[in-house]
This record gives sequence, C-alpha cells and structure tokens, in this order.
Amino acid sequence: MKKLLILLILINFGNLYAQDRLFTYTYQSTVLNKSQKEIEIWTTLQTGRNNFYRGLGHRMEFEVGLGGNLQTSFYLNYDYSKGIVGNNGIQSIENNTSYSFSNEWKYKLTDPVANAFGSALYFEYTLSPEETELEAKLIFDKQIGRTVHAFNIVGELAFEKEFVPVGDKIQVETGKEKVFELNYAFAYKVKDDLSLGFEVFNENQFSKTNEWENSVLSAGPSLSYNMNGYWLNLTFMPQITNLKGSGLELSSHEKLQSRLIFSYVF
Amino acid sequence: MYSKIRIAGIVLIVSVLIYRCSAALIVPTAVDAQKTGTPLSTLVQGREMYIGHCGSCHYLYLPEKLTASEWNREVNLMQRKAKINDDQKEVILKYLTAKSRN
Ligand code: HEC
Repeated sequence: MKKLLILLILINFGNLYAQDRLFTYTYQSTVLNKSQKEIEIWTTLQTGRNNFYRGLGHRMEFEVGLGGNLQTSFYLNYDYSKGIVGNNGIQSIENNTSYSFSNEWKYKLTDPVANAFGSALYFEYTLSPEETELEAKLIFDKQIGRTVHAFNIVGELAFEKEFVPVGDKIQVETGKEKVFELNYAFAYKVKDDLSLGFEVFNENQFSKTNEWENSVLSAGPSLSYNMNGYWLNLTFMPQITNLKGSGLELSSHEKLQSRLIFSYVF
Repeated sequence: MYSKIRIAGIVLIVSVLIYRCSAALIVPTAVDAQKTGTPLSTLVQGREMYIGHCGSCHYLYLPEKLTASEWNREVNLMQRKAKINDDQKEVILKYLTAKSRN
C-alpha cells in the first residue's frame, strides 16, 4: 500500500515539465541559449468569411540560439485557400496557393523574472514571388506567481505585386499595405505541464493612401501542454467585432481563426 | 469624491500586489560574499550567467525556492540542457546556493 502510494506520488510529481512558450499569436521575451535548437510546426485555420472562404496556412520553423541574447529562425511558409469571388456579377471559384520564406531575428532586452518585466525586440522579413513583407514587434511579458501576461505591439509593411491581364498584355499593379497590431495574452499554470488562458488580438489595416480600413478584434481561449522535449499550443480566436464598423468584418477577415503550434526541442 | 478615493485605493493595492509578487531576482551583496567565502564578483557573474543560460525553456526559478542541495541536484540535471560547461555550472551554483532556502 505504502509502495503504491509512493508510486502514485512519483507519477504525479516526478514528471515536472517546464516550458513557458504558452501562446500561438502572442510572443514572449525568451530566447534560446547558444546552439539550442527547436523545430516548430504551425498550422493556422481561417474560416467563415462572406464568400465561403477557407484558408489554411502552415509554417515550418527552425529556431536557433546564437548567444548574447540573440536568436534567429528560418521559416518555410505554405498557404492555400479557396473561396467564391464575384467579378462584374459573374461568380467564380478562386484557389490561392502561395509559398514563401521568412527569417526572424529576436533580441532579448530584459528578463521577465530578473527584471521588473521581460522585453524583446523582434524583426522578420518574408519573401515570395509576389510579396516582400517586413514585420517588427516590441514584446513584453511578466510572470506573477502562476500567471503569465504577455503584450506585443506589432507593425507590418507589405509590398505586393499583382499581375493583371489587360487584353493580350499583362499589367503589373503594385500595392502597399500597412498593418498595426496589438496582442495581449494571459495564462494560468494549472499543472506543471498544462497552462490555460486566452489571447486577444487587434488587427488594424491601412490602405496605400493611409486610410484606416478596419480594426478587427478577436479573442479566445488558449491551451499549452508540454511533455519533456515536446510542446503543443492551441488557440481559438473568434472575431468579436470590427471596431471601425458595425458588427463583424467578413469580407477580408474570418469569423474564426485557430492556430496550433507543435514543437520539438533538442 | 468617495469613488475617486476608492479607485485610488484599488490602484494602490493592485500596484503593491504587483510589486510584491514580481519578486525580482535577488542581487548578491558583500555580506553574501563574506558568508560564503566567494568573491562578490563571482556571485554577480553567477547571477548574470543564471539569467543568460537558464531562462530559455522556462522562466527563471527564484534562488530562495530551493535548498542548496536541491540546487546542486537541479543544476546538475540542467547542465546538459543549458549546454554549459563545468566552470559555468560552478559559478551559477555559487550564486544560487548563496541565496538558496535554508
Ligand atoms: C533546454 C531547456 C532547458 C534549459 C536551458 C534549462 N532548463 Fe531547467 N528545466 C527544463 C525542463 C524540461 C524541466 C522539467 C523536467 C526535467 O527535469 O527535465 C526543467 C526543470 C527545472 C527545475 C525544476 C523545477 C521544479 O519545479 O522543481 C529547475 C530548478 C531548473 N529547471 C533549473 C534550471 C537551471 C538552473 C538552468 C540553467 C543551468 C536550467 N534549468 C536550464 C528545461 C530547461
């Protein structure tokens, strides 16, 4: 009986897992140590627009710590979607597929335990045949007891090329898009290997002429589970409202986004 | 007026709570150096190395959370994960055990 009790205690408390990457949309300030490596597989589902649109995006990320609080990663991105488009009253089905490459640099400024709060600078560029995208983030996080708070300020600049057939010629139209985002996330450590919380995401799009087009607010529950050397984070983000309009914005944003990140640490 | 005082009171209490909970990582002093017979510069370096090598997978644990012998065991377990050599491990341990739970 006593042995059984000890065994049960060992099973329950012996496996102390520790991993503090808790969210899928919101970043935390931590960086990998020198020559520490991690592979992450991202899957984002976007569904529920006006035009029966559904898109899936995958990112395969290889992260490596460079030492001196610096980390870099390389991403291979693959996105595909399908939806109905209308042109002069004629409907057709549009399939989109895109491949791209991204490279990220992250520099940790302060530590969320050693300092009053954690902070990091983040820069990422993405290249594809039609698009060049630049993204910068300011990352803040803080651990208080069993809870973690994280906050990000994000700016994105995308330069796009669109090939449009006009008669028997092809015209190239260039576009520029600016996005400003705010992310907040909260997690509560239920057990050493399980955290539950939520993420809030506010995305603001600006047109080429700097017109503020929309301000979409999404929020939903998040979960983080880890085993020794593996972890898995999942968030459901239904759209709550468009702060610049009335009701939901469903022509370029979806009713629901969901993201899963699976990672292997080695 | 009453509600303003109440709001100010709540803000004050919350600030104190956040300040108290956000127990920062303790900085070694000359007293610790004397007590442990380790140069203060080594203890300070140990704190820096602890911050630099031990906070990538999990947030840092506060030194006062574990006893000296528990730290010995944990840091030995973590050495491979943190990819640190024996010298670095010793310096980190010097800091952690100087500030460990009794
Ligand atoms: C590569 C990721 C990684 C690094 C780097 C790392 N740890 Fe850990 N740490 C873990 C994991 C995973 C666990 C829990 C499971 C285990 O013991 O393997 C853990 C658990 C711990 C625990 C036990 C926590 C408890 O609740 O009792 C302590 C203490 C600890 N680590 C300290 C350190 C120290 C000190 C360093 C730096 C020398 C360090 N860790 C570096 C991954 C890491």
